[in-house]
Amino acid sequence: MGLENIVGIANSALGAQSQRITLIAQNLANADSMNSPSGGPYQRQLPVFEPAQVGDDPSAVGVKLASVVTDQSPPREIYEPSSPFADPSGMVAEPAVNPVYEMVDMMQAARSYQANLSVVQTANSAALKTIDLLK
Amino acid sequence: MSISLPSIGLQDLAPITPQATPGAAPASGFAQIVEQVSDTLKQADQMAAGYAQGKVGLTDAVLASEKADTTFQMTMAIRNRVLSAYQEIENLQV
Repeated sequence: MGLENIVGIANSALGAQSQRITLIAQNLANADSMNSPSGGPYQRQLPVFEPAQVGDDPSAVGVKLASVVTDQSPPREIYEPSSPFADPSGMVAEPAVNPVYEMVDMMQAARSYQANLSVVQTANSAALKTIDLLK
Repeated sequence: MSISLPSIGLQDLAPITPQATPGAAPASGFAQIVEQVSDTLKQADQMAAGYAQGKVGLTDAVLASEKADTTFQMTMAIRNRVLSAYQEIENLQV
């Protein structure tokens, strides 16, 4: 079932990319969160993808979100003595989230999502064209 | 608070699944295809309802609907073929 597999594979990629965009949204939303539950400023979350079988056919290899890793880069130290999170020397640890990186990542994720939608579209129109042979 | 959505699926408008009568032979040939298509349509309907309730992802719901559409088109094409073949035979001059 070739065309079925194509849609399944593209669907797995659509899911993975939307999870990636979810993490980007989370990173951007928390770019100014100084106090995370684990202590210290918010740490950037990054998706890790891996190939994964789709359905019962071992030749249909899609993608899935394997894990979410935490960016270990050190927080940005900013001098702001008036902040409630300032240490005795007046330094505040801000999350190491660079909105520019996140935006670029988001554009990449959106493009990848669109590319996989095109795959679905192509597979569907190929299927419909094939059915047209019967008419 | 949970809201139960009224089911307004295709199967309510047009029950195309043959009712299993006791002692009847299992559906074969075209009837079987129609049954399977009906199942696919029902599945797409459930996915759409599931999306409305927040249980199913958007892509899953849309792709299920797309698959149901393709399957339905396929059935219609076969049905038209069968019908036109039948009509051709019916119109044979004896």
